[in-house]
Amino acid sequence: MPDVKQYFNVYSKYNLIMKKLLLSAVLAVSTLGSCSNESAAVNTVESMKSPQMENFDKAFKSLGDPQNRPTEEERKRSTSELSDRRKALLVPASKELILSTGVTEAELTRKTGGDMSQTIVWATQIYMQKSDEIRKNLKSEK
Amino acid sequence: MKKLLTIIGFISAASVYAQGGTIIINNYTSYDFHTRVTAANLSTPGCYFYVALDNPELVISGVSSVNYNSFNIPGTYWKVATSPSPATLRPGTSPSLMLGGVISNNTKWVISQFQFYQSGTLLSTGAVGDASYTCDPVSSVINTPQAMVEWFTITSGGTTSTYLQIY
Repeated sequence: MPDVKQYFNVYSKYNLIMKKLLLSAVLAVSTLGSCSNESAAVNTVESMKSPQMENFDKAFKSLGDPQNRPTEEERKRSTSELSDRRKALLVPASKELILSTGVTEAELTRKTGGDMSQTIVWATQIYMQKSDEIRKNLKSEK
Repeated sequence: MKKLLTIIGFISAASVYAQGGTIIINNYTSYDFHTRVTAANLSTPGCYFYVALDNPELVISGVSSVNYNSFNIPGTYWKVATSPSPATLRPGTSPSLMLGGVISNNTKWVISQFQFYQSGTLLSTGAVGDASYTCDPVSSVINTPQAMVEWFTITSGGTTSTYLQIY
């Protein structure tokens, strides 16, 4: 009966290989699955913001910190223009965002003349443009 | 192609001079912020020149932000009055309300009427806006039981960015 024995040997070897194959296939599929889940979770407007955009967000949020909130005097003014004290809190992140588009320090100084409002308004326009681009990219991905 | 470029050039040039264009609403709280915003022309006496969001109201859910460049918000309808006769309803996509259009160029954002909601339940209502708008005076900072709501502008040359922040 050597033939039958040999046959069983081959069969069990084949079985083992199949099991291994099946296992790696399952692994591969589940890895692929988790990767695609990850990319689905990652691709939101929030996650696609550049670090400079995130810092711009943080600067505006910081206006609500206790020491940065409007003072009694600032509340009594008859204008809604942000006070210079609070504009100053937005300037570093605004400059950073403008420079991230390839504008040089020299150009920045020449165009704004160091004016805080001009710097922040310019950065806001860049921010709006960039979030528009992100939204468009997300739409075309779907 | 040349024509297209010229048009794009005109539009972008116009956007630089847009007055009431940009409004950015940052909701840092966990509550839903519902609002109707109004823009007005501050230099026309008589208080009749305005554009007010009629429906639907804007909903800025907890911990999120929105930004708009003009009245051209998809799906919205606005009450528009440019003379003492009654306001008419126009869709936000109407050419007259586009960025760089005559109405956008001659108005600035002035008021937000708002409500705080949590899981669909109304918690409080209020209004904030430009302190220099005397037709419907509101303050630029208001404390509600849910949060502090602040309205401010940053102006440079002919360009104004309007911010509505909920801390």
